[in-house]
Parts: sequence; C-alpha cells; structure tokens
Amino acid sequence: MSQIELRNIGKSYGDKEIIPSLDLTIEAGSFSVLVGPSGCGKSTTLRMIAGLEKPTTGTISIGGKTVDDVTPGRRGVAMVFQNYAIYPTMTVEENIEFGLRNNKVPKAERRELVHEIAETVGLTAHLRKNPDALSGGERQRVALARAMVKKPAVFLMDEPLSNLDAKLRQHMRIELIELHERLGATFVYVTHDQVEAMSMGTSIVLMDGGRIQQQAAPTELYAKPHNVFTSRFIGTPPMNVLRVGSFGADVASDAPAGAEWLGMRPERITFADTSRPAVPGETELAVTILALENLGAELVYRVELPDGSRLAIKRFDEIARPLGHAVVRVESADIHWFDANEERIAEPAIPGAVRQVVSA
Amino acid sequence: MKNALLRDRRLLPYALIAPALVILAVFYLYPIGYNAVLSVFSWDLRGPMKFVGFGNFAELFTDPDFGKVIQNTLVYMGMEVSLVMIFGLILALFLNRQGWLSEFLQGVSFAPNVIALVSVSLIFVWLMDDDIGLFNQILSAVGLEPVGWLSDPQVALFSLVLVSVWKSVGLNALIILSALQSIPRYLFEAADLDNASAWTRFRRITIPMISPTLFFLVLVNVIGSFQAFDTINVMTQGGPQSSTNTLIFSVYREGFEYYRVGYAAAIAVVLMVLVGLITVLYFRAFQKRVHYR
Repeated sequence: MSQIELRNIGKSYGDKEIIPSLDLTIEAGSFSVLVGPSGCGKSTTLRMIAGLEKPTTGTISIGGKTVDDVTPGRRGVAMVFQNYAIYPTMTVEENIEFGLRNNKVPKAERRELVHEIAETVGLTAHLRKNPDALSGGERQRVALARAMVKKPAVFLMDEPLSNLDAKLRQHMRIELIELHERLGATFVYVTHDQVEAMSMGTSIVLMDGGRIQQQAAPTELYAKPHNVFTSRFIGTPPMNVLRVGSFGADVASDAPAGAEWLGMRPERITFADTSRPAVPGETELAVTILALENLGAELVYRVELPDGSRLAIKRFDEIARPLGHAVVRVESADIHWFDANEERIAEPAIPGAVRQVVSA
Repeated sequence: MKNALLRDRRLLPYALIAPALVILAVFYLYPIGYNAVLSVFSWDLRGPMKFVGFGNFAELFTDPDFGKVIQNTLVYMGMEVSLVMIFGLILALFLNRQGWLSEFLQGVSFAPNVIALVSVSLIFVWLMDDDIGLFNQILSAVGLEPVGWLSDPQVALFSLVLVSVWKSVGLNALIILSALQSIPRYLFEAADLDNASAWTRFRRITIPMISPTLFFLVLVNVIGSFQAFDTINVMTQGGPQSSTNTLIFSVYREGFEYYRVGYAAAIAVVLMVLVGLITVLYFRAFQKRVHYR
C-alpha cells in the first residue's frame, strides 16, 4: 500500500497554466476519485502521478519515496487508459505479459501470472486472440489485466469506463469496487461523472480550474459542500443555489451574517401537505410547476419561484402533480449558506432542529 | 432510350468496368502478350519475322554474360532496396523528432525527388569523374586514394546504387515518417508504464505499427530497382566490362541498339518472370507478419 503525496505541484504548457499550485494527499489503500469538469486538471494530475507529464513545479512522492526523477515504469504504478491503449500488434497474452517481460520476470513465472490474471478477469478463452477480435468490454478487461498482472501498489485509471455502454459501465463499477476491496491497493480514478465518483470513491477530490475545490468522503461532500461549485457539481439534479432573498423573507431573515447564497438539495424540498400545517423551522413558498420529468422511481419537477428564479425538486413514490400552482416547504436545517465568495458558511446552531442524516 | 446492356443485371457490372478493362487490355495485357509472341521470333524491326521457337531463350541461357546480367540486377536490387530502407527509416526516425532542424530537413530531404533522374545522373557523372570529380578531390584532400567511381568494374554498380539511394531516400523517409506519426501516442505511454526500454519500444511497437508501410515500400523499391535505366544509360552504358549491365538495360540495348527485337523480348520475359517470382515469394514470406489495422 502506498500513500501518494503531491506538494506544491504546478503545471503549465507554455504560457497556459493548467494547475497553479496543488497540494494533495491520497491515502494508502483509498479509492480516490479525481472528478471535475473537462479542463479542470484532473487528467493532468493523474498523468503527473504516472510520470507521463513532468510537473512544472513541486514534488510528488509515492509510498514515501520522491519519484520526480523516476521513469513511469519504475514508479510501482499501473495505469488503465481511457481508450485502453492495448497494443494492437500483440495478442491478448502478449499484451498482459509485456510489462512482466520488461521487468525480466522469468518465463515460467510469467506464464503462471498471466494465466492466473486471465482466469480472474475471465479472459482465458481469449488469450491467443488479437485484440481486434475482442468486444469493448473484453478490451476493458485486457487493460485491467495488464495493470493487475504487475501487482502494483497504485492503480491509476483515466476514465476507464467512459467507452462502455451504460449497462456494462454499471457492471464494471461494481467490479472495480470489489477489485479495490480484494487488492487493497491505492486506486486513483479520474472521471468527469459525479455519479461514478460518488458511487465508487472512498475519497473524492473535486477539482475546478486546476484547484482542489474539496476533498472529502462522498457523504461529507454531499452533506457539506465547501462552496457553490461543489454544491452544484454533486447530485442529480444538483443542489439548487439561489440568492438569499429568493425563497421568501422568512428564510432570508434566518440567514447568517454575510450570507449571499442559499442552497437546498432537490430531494429535501417537499410539497406542502395541506393536512399538516408548517411547524417552526419550516418555510412555505407558493411556486409554479413548469415541467416534470418522470424517471420511474423518482419525479423531478422544475418550478419557478415568485422572483422568477428556478428550482428543481425531486420526489419519490408520489403521484405526479399537475403543472401550475403549488406550495413547497423546506426545513431550515436543510438550507446551506454561502457567502459573497461562494464559500460555505458554517451552519448556525438551530436549537431543537433534528437533522436527518443525508445519505448519498 | 434504355440500352439492353444496362437493363441486364448480369451484364451491368461488366459494362461498368469496361472502360478500365479496355485501358488495361490495350496498354498492359496486349503489350505483355505481344512481347511473349515476339520472344519466339527473330526480327530486326524491318525485315520479315522468323519463327525460332525457344531459340532466343536457348541463346540467352548459353550466353556466358547473361548470368552476369542477372547477377548485376539482383545485386543492384539487394543493395538499393536495403540501403533505401535502412537510411529511409533512420532519416524518418530523426525527422520525427521535434525541432527546427528536423523540420528544415523534412523539406531538404524531399528535394532530390523533384529533380529529373537524367539531370541527377549528369550531375553525378561530373561529381564522380576520376580526375576532376568532387568526390575524388575530397578523397585526395584528406589523403585517401582516389576511387574509380564509374571506371572501376568493382565499384561502378555501387556508384549507381548510391545515386538512386540519394534520390529516393527522402521520399521513402517521408512516407515512413507519416506512418510513424500515425502511431497513437498512448501506445508509447502504455509501454513507458510497462517499463519498456527504448529498444523494446522500437522493436515491439514502432516496427510492427509501421510494418504495412515498410512492406509496401520494400515491394515498390524492389520493382523500381528492376526498372533502373536512366542512371545506367547516362552514367555507364552498362560498363565498364558489363559490370553495370542489368536486365532492363540489356532489353534496351538488344532491342533498340542492335535491333534484335526477338532476343530483347526474350530477356523481357525473363525479367517479368523474375519480378513475378520475387513478388510472390516476398508476399509468401512476409505478409503474415504484417499488421494491418
């Protein structure tokens, strides 16, 4: 198991600064997911850990050893590329074997390792085939097997599931989680898909503009986003972030000092139930339902507030409401506050309010 | 008005390829066939044609010089093709690097290719002159013995190879370069992570990935080497002592200088069989080892 540390890492291409200065610790044995919009520097960060890109400034260490001058092949890492980067001129077996061969592993041992891994990932029947003859899912397995066979302390994965169809992607997610459990190695996984990040990671590193916006466990990231960017990136649909005044005067008066923005998760907003009046700590607001997405298990409403701002509301197991007038209700405890710099304001203590644990 | 030919589904494909077939027949198939016919006649272009059966071939294979001609042809091919491929590959690998020098050389290395081969030959006759040529002047300037570039039977064939290589290596390098540049970068990155040495990367990734191009270029160069004519005609006329006389030059000389058309046609038949044989053997030997994407 290897901890990865990036200290003061900067990366520029010519005049273009991709990453100003990055400090990041990836815990040994964690499943860390680097996630963010395209161009946020997540892939560059991964490639710097792999040694495929040289940082402009700063230092990287893996397992306590500085690797700045170590070639990719000697860093004790294996990488799964987005397009798998399978050697097209070699058979499946030669592909898996290539790293071992370069590391001068004796032939008998090589054979044994390759067959063992092929068995694990279900490629035994395909070992003699050319990669062209394989399906997308099988190629994915070759890429995984090629990484696994080297028994690295660190697995680096650059959007490895993005070329698979939705169903296979779902399936591979679970396999990767299981693989991580079984191997106990450090996984560093890059994706732009927050659902993938949330569902797989034990630690999520959310990046934007070459900076880390927040590094936290999925639950924490979801429950306590550090800033507006994070709150809007995580969740389907993401958190509603509004001007403090948008949700009525009562809520506005609750706002802590300095609050400019308020956020509420779509699933924490309810439709006012006429049979039960609002209790202290709850706020109601008249809205207009503009549209409805029926996703089967859940309904997503798009509503308009009196001041014209929009809100998404997610409800489960309910009959679809008609479009038009409705009253929504939200608990004060479910409101997140952000200041003028879009940074989170620590939630004010609300006496007597029972906060439910929000799970991912 | 609808043509019956076009309405008949079975005949339509033939009608569509007819123009190409006509060109093929008139300019390729007919001359090949006519050449084969000529090879069993004796004819001086003006007088009557006299049927001699395999007499031309009998004369050919009993001519002690003919073995030498075939040898020259094959030696020329072997030297020319291997030098062009080796230097083409080395040049391409160098041009594939980043930097102003390789960009500059990309343009320069292509330059010989736009000069007519006859002009190139004339320039090299001058450069390779025994007494006043630049090559020998340089050799004597550094204290080496002058070389009879075109006058020494041991050297002349190699000198012709040199000219041909000089002219075509740039084009070959550029074609190899484009193949090199089409290798996806991530393959080399994956190889880096697999701890592959530079030599392993070259041998296991670069060469297999450009193998279709190399395969094609070798074939084109082999066939091209059999057609080498301008250099021989301008620079050596097959001499000295027939040391640069090749099959194609013999065809020309017998047919158009000595007017022994049937005899020349027989040599051409031998040439065709030889090229065909080498091509077939080449395909048999290497096609399986070429990786097509």
